[in-house]
Amino acid sequence: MFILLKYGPENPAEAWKLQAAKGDDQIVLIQNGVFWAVSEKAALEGKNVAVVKADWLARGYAEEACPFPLVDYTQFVELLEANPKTMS
Amino acid sequence: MDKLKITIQVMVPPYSYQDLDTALAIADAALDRGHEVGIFLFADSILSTFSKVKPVRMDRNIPVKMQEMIANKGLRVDICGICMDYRGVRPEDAIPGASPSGLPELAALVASSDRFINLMA
Amino acid sequence: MKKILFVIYQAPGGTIWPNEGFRTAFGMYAEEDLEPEVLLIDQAAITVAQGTEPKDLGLLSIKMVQRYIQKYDTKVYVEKESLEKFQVPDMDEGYVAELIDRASIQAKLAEYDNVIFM
Repeated sequence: MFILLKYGPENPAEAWKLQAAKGDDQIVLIQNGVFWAVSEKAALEGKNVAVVKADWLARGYAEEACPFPLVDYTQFVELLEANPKTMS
Repeated sequence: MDKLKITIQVMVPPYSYQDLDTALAIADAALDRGHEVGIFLFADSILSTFSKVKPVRMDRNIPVKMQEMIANKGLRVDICGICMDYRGVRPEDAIPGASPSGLPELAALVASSDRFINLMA
Repeated sequence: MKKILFVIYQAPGGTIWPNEGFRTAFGMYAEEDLEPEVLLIDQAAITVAQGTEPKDLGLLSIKMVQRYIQKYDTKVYVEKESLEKFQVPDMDEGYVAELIDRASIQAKLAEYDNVIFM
């Protein structure tokens, strides 16, 4: 399943999605969802996470500081192609 | 990768939030990969099709960008008609190529799309 | 048949999203091949309280959705942990909502083609 997190850790729905995520689900952090990779890394441990590069960089973080793979929009679409089911 | 039908639903207003920009960026990349892409505009997001939107010069013009993607890349844009009525946007106020639509059309998109993503409120 | 779960997480009164979540779910019946269900979590759990009615604030009624839930026989779940967290005193039977715990609904998510948060 392709799981999109658009809001940061303050949002209860995003926390709910994350709790529901299984090991083979693809989590993508977009917009303020990237803050999960900053302040709540432990919640992402063992999960399959990608971070939208443009949103990460635009919030002032260095590319090398990202603990998860950064993806551009083309790679975002490739991840979506690989996962027919979505939670968003 | 086979051609997919991808629908992106947006719910929040343009400019106050990033969602329209995000939706257009995803749509652009998906169109470049040969997919059939639609954006369904729900609630306040319908304001993004208002042709009289006039941002300051240094800012992006979202309706114009969307109109160009409709014309040049084949982006499909559906606008929730009841949401337009609620906000006083008439069909003739919308950018060319964006169609007033509704929940039956959304249902058809959900049923027929290979991928459906919603930028939630 | 595609199964679609609409998840509503914000409270009625403060936002329109519970109304829109139900309205969108009902709209799915326009297609024979769609089976919509609704899940209420977090603050949206108060939707099912007997006393919850945005109409009392001069806003659009939420209880009006009950008629369509019953007409379409729409499956409505409300999360047990959220009901407890927001201290919902009594459930309005008009929503015909099934109480479900978080672990159970999260285990069921693989059944759905799309989980749509409103």
